[in-house]
Amino acid sequence: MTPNDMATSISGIVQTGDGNITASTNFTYTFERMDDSNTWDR
Amino acid sequence: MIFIPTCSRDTTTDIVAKEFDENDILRFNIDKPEDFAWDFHRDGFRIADKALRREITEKSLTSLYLRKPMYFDAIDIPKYGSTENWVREETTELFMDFFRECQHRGLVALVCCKSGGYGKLRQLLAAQKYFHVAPWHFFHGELPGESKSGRWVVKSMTQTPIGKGKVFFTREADPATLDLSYPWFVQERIDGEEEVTVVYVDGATYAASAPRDSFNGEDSRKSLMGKPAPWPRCALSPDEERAIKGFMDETGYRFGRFDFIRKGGELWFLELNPNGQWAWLDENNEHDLVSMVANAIKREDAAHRAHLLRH
Repeated sequence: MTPNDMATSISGIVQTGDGNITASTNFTYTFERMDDSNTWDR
Repeated sequence: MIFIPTCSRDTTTDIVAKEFDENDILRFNIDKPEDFAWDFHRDGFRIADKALRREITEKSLTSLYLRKPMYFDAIDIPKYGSTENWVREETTELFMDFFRECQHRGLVALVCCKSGGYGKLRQLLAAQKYFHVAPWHFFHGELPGESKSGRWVVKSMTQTPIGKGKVFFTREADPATLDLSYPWFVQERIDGEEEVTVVYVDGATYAASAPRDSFNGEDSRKSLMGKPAPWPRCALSPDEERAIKGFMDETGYRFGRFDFIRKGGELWFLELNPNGQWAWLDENNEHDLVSMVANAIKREDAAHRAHLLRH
C-alpha cells in the first residue's frame, strides 16, 4: 500500500452536522481539533 | 500589549481572546493581509489592524503569544511557483523572524520555540524515561523485523495533505503490506481502556479522557468528522503528574498538549503537541481551562512589563 491508499478523504465534512452544530461551525471545529501541527516549532 | 500571530480560522484564539481586555491584545490574522498594514524598520515596527483602527509598536509590545499563523486554504502551486505562494512565503518568513526576535528579547509568552525542537522522533526517545512507549519504527526500503508480528498502526509525522482532499489519519495496517519505497512511521497498536489528553500550562495540568472504543481503535480525530465526542475531565495520579513535569522540564517546554492511551491503568505516551489546539476541550470555560491558559499568559506578560520598565 502507498500513503495515498492509506489516506482518508476529508471532503464532505461541511455537509455533516446534527442540527445543533451548523455545517460551517463543524467544519471549523473539526480542523481546530485536527490541526495539531507545531507551527513554527518544528 | 500582547501580540497574537494567528489566522482567521483559529477558534482557540477566538476563545482565549475573550479572556483579555480588547485593548491589551492585537490579533494578527496572517491569512487576511488585506485587514492589516505593517512596517518593520531599523528603529522598530508598527502593525495596524485597519478595521479596528488599533496598532502595536515597539513601544507598546510587551509579549507575543504564538497561536497559528498559517493558511488553512491550500493552493495549487505550479512547478515554477505562483504570486500567491510568494506572498505567503514572504509574509510567513517576516513574522517568523519577528517571533524569533521576540523570543531573543524574552518577550514570548508560554508557547516558545525550543532550540532544535522536539519532533516525533525526539519525543519518543525522551518519553521512554517517563512513560510506557509502545515499539515504533520510522523506516524505508526494508521492513523492520520487529514489525513482522503483532498488530501495528501507521501514522504520519506531519499534517501534509496527500492530494485530492486527503489527509493521513492514524489507522491499523499490516506493515508487510506497505510499499517500501515510501517513508513510514508505524507503532505497535495499544489496546487500552481510554484515550487521555493532558494540557500542560506552566506546571499545572488539565486532563480529559474519552473511551477508546468510541474511536474503534483508530485516530480519535476521525470521530470529529461527525458529532464531536465529549471529553470529560479526568484525574491524574501524583506519579503521572511528576512524569509529565519531568518530560516538560527535560524538553524545556512550558506549554503543550499530550496525547496518551491509558492501558491497565497506566499512561502510554503517543505525542506532545507543543503548540497544539486545546480550547475544544472546554470551549465554554466551564472547567476554567481557558482561564488557566489566559492567566498564565497574563502572569508572563506582567513579568515582561516589569522587566521592560526596569530596562
